[in-house]
Amino acid sequence: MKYLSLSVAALALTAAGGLSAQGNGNGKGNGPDKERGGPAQAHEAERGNDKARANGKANRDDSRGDNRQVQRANNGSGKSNANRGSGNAKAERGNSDVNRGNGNVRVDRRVERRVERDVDRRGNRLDDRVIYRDRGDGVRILAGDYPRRLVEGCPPGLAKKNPPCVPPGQAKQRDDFFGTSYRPSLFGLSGYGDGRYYYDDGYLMRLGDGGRIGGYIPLLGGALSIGNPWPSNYNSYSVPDYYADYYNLGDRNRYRYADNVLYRVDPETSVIQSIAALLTGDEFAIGQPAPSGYQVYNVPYSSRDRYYDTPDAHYRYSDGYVYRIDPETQLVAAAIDLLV
Amino acid sequence: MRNAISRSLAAALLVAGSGLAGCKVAEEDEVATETEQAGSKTVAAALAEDDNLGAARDALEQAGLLTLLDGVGSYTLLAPNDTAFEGLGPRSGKLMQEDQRPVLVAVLREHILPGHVTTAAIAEAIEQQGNSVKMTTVGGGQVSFAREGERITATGPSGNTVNLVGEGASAGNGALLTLDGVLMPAASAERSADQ
Repeated sequence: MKYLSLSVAALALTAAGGLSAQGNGNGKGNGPDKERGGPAQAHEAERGNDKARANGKANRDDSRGDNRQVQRANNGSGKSNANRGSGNAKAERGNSDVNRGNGNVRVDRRVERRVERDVDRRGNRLDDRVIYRDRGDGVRILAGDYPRRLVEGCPPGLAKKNPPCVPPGQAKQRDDFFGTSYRPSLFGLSGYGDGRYYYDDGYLMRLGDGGRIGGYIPLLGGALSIGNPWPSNYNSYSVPDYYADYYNLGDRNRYRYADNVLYRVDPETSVIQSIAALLTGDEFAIGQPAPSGYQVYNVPYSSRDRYYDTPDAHYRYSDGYVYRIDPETQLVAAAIDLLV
Repeated sequence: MRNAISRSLAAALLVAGSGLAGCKVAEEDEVATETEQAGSKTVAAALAEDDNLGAARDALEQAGLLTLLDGVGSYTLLAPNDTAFEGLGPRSGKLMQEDQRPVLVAVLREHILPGHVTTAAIAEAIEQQGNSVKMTTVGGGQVSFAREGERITATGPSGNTVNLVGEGASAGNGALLTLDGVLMPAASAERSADQ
């Protein structure tokens, strides 16, 4: 326990030091740099435009000891030399944020969470895998958690029936909204593979050999309804810290992530309390074509005055990030996080 | 006398001028206030304020998704109006039954777009890109928007087309656009062999 306390103090100290250094360094960097071609550079250029945020974020990252975040901070400093100083005012704002201590508050919270996670790991109570991938600029972002596996067997209600694990009767099926059977994509599910699926009583079930139910998926609004305990045999995952912050999820034991849905749960009982976020799961990789389905400007309200479409740059939002897209090539040029 | 008239005219003009300036200030204040309201209001609150969207609100509540529109994530709700739900006939009641709630969630997810999408942005995108434009939904499908005369239409994953109604509302955590029909997901289903 003493060891943990010392670790916390050391982390907090490191983080505070990072804040000061960063505030100064970042202050020089400003203005979008549309000339930069490389993916990582483009990302940093965008962050230069975003002044104070870049400061705070990089510092939070330091507190976690995450390599990519340190890298982002360094890139930001390096960039500041190359930039022309449209942003002195922004630099000052960045510093003033630091002086107000906003960043420190965040760092403290981060440190606390890290400790709690360690405790959880020792207790072996949580599945702490993090589902992420590299976006192309060294930043880990949430990835779709596929391929998914069905829960083996049949749902609890059908398992107890006689005969067990047999699909429900046809009369009941015909009374459903869409009539009969369903494919997983109706429920926003992907990665489960083909097969013959039935919906009943809050579960999507796949028929196996001999017409018996071979596996199932608890559904949002069904088994995964508010007030129900999280099914222990349905895999959920941690998300990268950015998402926990952006959606204000709290510690790992306060949320579950599965099949592009973030749920808030009671940390003691694992009962689902609310739906925290519905994610698209669309993959934006820097230097790669933007996913289809983003042809309309959709930047969140609070960022629209900063990121608006121009002939040279389009901005689109997805799952907590804004992406800059080249209107001509439709390639993703930069990624911008929105935490302030 | 002439001086007196001139002074009176000047005074009148001054009053008129200050009145105009006052109007402009008032307009600016109004716009600023509206902007502030949009910034502080949530999509869920905007939904509650619209008398024509009671059924949509009930459906979202039943689905457990209303708090999502009160939260920090940015979403645009394409809300079918009450007439749209009535248009489903008996199926509307079926959709609201408890055992069909995952299906209700599936239908509603196809009415939620990531981010803040306005009617003006849709119209501009259509104008720039020449025909229809697509937006992804948080249900895994896409909605296509197109212009038909003065109207903007929305076509859901199953191919049914409805109209955008009114200008919509902006909120701090997204936007609210009204539809005169319910978009259907590309739902259902290859039928299983034994049916």
